[in-house]
Amino acid sequence: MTPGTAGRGRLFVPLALLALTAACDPGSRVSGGAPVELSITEAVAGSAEANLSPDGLFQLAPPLNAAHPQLTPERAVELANADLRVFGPNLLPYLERTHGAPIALDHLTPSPRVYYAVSPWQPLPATADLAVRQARGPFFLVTYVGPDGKPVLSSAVPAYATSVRFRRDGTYDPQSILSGFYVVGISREWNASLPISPEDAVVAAASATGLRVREVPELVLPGVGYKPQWSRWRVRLERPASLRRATGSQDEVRTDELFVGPRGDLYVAAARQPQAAVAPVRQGETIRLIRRTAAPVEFEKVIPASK
Amino acid sequence: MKISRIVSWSVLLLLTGACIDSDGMGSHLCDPVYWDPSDWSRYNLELVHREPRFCPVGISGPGEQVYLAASILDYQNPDFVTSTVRVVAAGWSNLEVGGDLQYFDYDPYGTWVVQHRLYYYAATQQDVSGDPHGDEIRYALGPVAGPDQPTAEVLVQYYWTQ
Repeated sequence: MTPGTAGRGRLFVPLALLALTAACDPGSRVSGGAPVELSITEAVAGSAEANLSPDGLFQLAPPLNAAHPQLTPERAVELANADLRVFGPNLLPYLERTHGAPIALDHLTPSPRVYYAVSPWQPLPATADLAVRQARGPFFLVTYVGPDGKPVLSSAVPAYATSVRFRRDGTYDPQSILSGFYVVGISREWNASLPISPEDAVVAAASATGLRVREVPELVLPGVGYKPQWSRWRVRLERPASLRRATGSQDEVRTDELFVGPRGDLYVAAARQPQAAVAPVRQGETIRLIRRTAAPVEFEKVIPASK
Repeated sequence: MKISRIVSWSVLLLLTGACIDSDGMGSHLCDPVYWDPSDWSRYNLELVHREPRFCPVGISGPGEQVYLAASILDYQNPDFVTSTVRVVAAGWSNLEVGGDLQYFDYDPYGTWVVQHRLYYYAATQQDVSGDPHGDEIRYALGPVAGPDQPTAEVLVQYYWTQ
């Protein structure tokens, strides 16, 4: 397994369970109830198929034109590397606790695939506090793998962190703002990048619904209260699928838009979405975040209707 | 929903140098309050932190940047929204030499956590002469009890909403 495809093609247990349940769905491409996992080429149609390279990887869209200057993916990896080099030793107890095993920071390498996650919030004005703009704007997500190619850490780098610079001696420029940077261990039991790859997300959605995915997935950040590693892949199916809410009413939902979570779990946008949220800045000072059109921040977990 | 008030308590850490090395900056003994888990857990918080010198704030010497990072976990009742850290030079200058604003959020494992990163320059006195770039003032830390005992106050404040 190469670092960039860590976990690809052999999704963990939840996906296998979903694949098992997909056979009863009308239009399913999985037959006989056997534990069949779709390949990525079986799971795509339309522009998703057109943007799949011969090696089975999506050609992801470049970062959106944003309201503020953004990092390039290459620069985001540089900052993630610096963050890990400088602050990694201090954060090691938390990283090892979440990974579930000792971590040799010097032996980690960043995966070549860096994911860009869009923010559900409208851009804040340039006059807004930079710390808040960074923390509530888009992010780059970098997975670090160990010498065996298995995922170890997931680093979140704010795409608006263009103030972060280094001096000639390698120390941080005093004007650098580090709000929003966050790194966490990836459970060694997951054996997948965090977030999972877009190919894994597509396979998860297609295997669960029996329907192909028609567009290249887009990574969407969660709402307020969740770290960027909770980002979900938005996938659009070739037609609406029947699903059932996993909790509460457990009633049926029909939709062609699914969101695939960090472990391959499926979600739909909740029927009720807040129009805004409040981001505190300083004591007694807040900034109002306005939700972008068609950018959900509340989700409901679903399972195939036939399950 | 808006910020109603700052929580009535905060963690005030006074870090006092004790060990002495050639540049007089030394490593630090740590205030026990920082390391006694009960002092954090009584607020349903846990500090997950380590520094090479086993101290919350290490002042390694003039011309070097000091780094501090920590993960702070809020258990049981995830009520805090933001966390700010201010590092204030004690003694001569009383200047804020570093700060950080972060948001509490759930990590992928369902823990309500904030992660801080701090960097700052420090010296035993206001000093620009040793700056290799000529554009940096290293703020004085201390002394309070003597020139070999630089100090810094690390003030961690949490905000919540009602």
